[in-house]
Amino acid sequence: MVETTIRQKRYRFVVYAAVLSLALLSLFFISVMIGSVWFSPETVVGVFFGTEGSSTITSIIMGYRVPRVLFALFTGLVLGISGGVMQTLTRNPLADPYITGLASGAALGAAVAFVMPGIPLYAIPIFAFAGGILMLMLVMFISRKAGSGPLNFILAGLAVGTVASAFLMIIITSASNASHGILYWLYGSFSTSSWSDLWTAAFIATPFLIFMLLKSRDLNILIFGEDHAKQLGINSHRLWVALLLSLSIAVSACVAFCGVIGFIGLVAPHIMRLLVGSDNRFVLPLSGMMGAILLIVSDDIVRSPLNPLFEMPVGSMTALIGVPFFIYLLIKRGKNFDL
Amino acid sequence: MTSTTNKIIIASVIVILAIGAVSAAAFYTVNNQLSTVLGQLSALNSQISSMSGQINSLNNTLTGLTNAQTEIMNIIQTLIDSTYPMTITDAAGRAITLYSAPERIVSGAPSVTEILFALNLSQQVVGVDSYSDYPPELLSLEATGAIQVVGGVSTLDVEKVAALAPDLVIIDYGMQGQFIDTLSDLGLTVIALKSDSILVVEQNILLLGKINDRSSEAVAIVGEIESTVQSITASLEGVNDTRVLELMWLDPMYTTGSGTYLNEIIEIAGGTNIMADKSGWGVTNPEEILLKNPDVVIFDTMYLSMTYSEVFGTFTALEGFENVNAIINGDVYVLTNQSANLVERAGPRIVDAIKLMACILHPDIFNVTIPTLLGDDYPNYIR
Repeated sequence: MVETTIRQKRYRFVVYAAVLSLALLSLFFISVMIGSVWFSPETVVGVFFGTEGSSTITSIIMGYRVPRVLFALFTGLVLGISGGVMQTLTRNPLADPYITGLASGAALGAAVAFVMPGIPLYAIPIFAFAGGILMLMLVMFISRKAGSGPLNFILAGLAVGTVASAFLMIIITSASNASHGILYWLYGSFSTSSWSDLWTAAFIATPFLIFMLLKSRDLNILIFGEDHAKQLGINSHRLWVALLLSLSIAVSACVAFCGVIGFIGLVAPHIMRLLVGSDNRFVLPLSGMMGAILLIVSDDIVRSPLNPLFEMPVGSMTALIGVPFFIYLLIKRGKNFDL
Repeated sequence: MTSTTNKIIIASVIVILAIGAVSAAAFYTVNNQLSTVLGQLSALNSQISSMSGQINSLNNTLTGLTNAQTEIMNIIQTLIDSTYPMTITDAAGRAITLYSAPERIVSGAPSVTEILFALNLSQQVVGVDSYSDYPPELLSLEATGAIQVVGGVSTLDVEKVAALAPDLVIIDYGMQGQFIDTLSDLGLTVIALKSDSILVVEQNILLLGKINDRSSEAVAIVGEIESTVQSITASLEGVNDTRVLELMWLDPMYTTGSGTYLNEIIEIAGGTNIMADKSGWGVTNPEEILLKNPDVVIFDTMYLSMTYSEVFGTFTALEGFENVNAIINGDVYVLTNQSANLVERAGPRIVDAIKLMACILHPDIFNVTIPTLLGDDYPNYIR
């Protein structure tokens, strides 16, 4: 393998970024056309420019389809970037943003909200968010007691996540009526995504998203270990904690509304690493875009009018769409793969 | 020749000619009529032969009908015949032999419990699942300890079941099929029942009647179901269907498509399920509801965790829903507690479920005002 210069890498990044942006833009437009009924491009353009006559069609496109597609886009962005950060932080290619037990924590939080009497439906995201963050705090506390280090952290996450899943199972089997609600929530879905969901999640997650992107250069240095970072004047522990908190808050903000959507955070960064190498400055933004594309396409299939069944969990589609593409890249370019 | 002779000859000739002409005319006419008559006769003949053909085929049909009747009578006889030992086939396709009427029965599901009580078997029931809560007699028998609770539906406590030493355990195949082997291994007689259509429910009732020697009760219940379906169908003759959205959960919006028990009830009660283009149970979205514009929304939930106005508010808060018929007319109905059990359980209360659904969908036809929130008080509103 000939050593590629930084200029070549930067050039490749710009090309990929341009291609993915274009893909995202056209995908957004096509996705708004797709739903229970197909709308023609003219109708969609008409709605965007306020010339569409039917108020029902305007309500459907502006009230449901646009926020749904944008929420899928934003969630994909968050999961893709967070997955890349988490894999670097833990130096583990199998890590995804949920490795801290965040998913089971959020699910447990939602389950508690379902079971406790007098909690309105709109409070469920708050409980899910709190559950995810509490779980993270617990994992960080335990791994710190165990002397820090990525491995201790992963093991603590595994342990706490398993306990949360156990509690979740207890609630599901013992809570009669609420168990339906918990199971539906666990499926993960954009079926009721609204503008207010989107604004709330974006308001919470965006600052942390920007922070992670800004720190992508420092993240490259963390890979080489604490000593190396110290020589370059980076307080690696503080950075490590800050990044972990950022990604967990960003992911929790999305998960609280749409449930646990797996796989995007794992595979989107790997796809981009196979294409542009392991430099986080390039990998992270592109992973975000790739995550958004995978998630939008998955959701399009789930709500396509060609689908004779009811909506499937979007999480089942992300794997079906992402894995074949990932395997293709792995076979084609797996030789120069590196975290 | 004398003129007299001439006159006689001429007169004779005239008479002969006249007779000839008349007879010729008569012959011609008669001949003509004869051919008509002959034609009619042959037509009659062919009619008779075709009629005899029809009679023949009628005869055949009658024989066929008699055979079919004997066959039906035989089927009915086997359906209700309670001679032991008997071998029956359950929903899992297992052949089960019973040597006498069961005396200690455990029911694993509310629908099964309700069928057993409707068949006057309350004295034979020794255990039920924790969801079983109807009829009221069950609750008092549970209070006296005559009937034990043996766990939830999907969390059946197999040891508790075995400890009751039942001679028959009846479970729901869909939700409890996984317990068949465990229970059988403990030496228990297990029957699994499905519950996916009204016909299956009727078969279940007849089967439980047969194995418990309660066939006359079973036939009466099934007869009531059939006559209810017929009378509701007759009342709604020529009435336009009401477009219905049925929800079992609000976020995400969990609903029923075609091919379900609930869909069947909606159709009999004069409704069109707006989600019938999808099959089974599943999650829908507000956009689809907005497009399909239901006249009535029915939300059924075993335990309602909010007020009615909060339920209504979740719909009005949705973009564009001010144009949905059900919202405009305030036709959003919430069924909870026994009202929800009524439409969710595939048991003998199917009669009430159909009636209640028909009253909700067509209050003007049945001359009743249905409150938008229904609980245990549903019997007051059934016509």
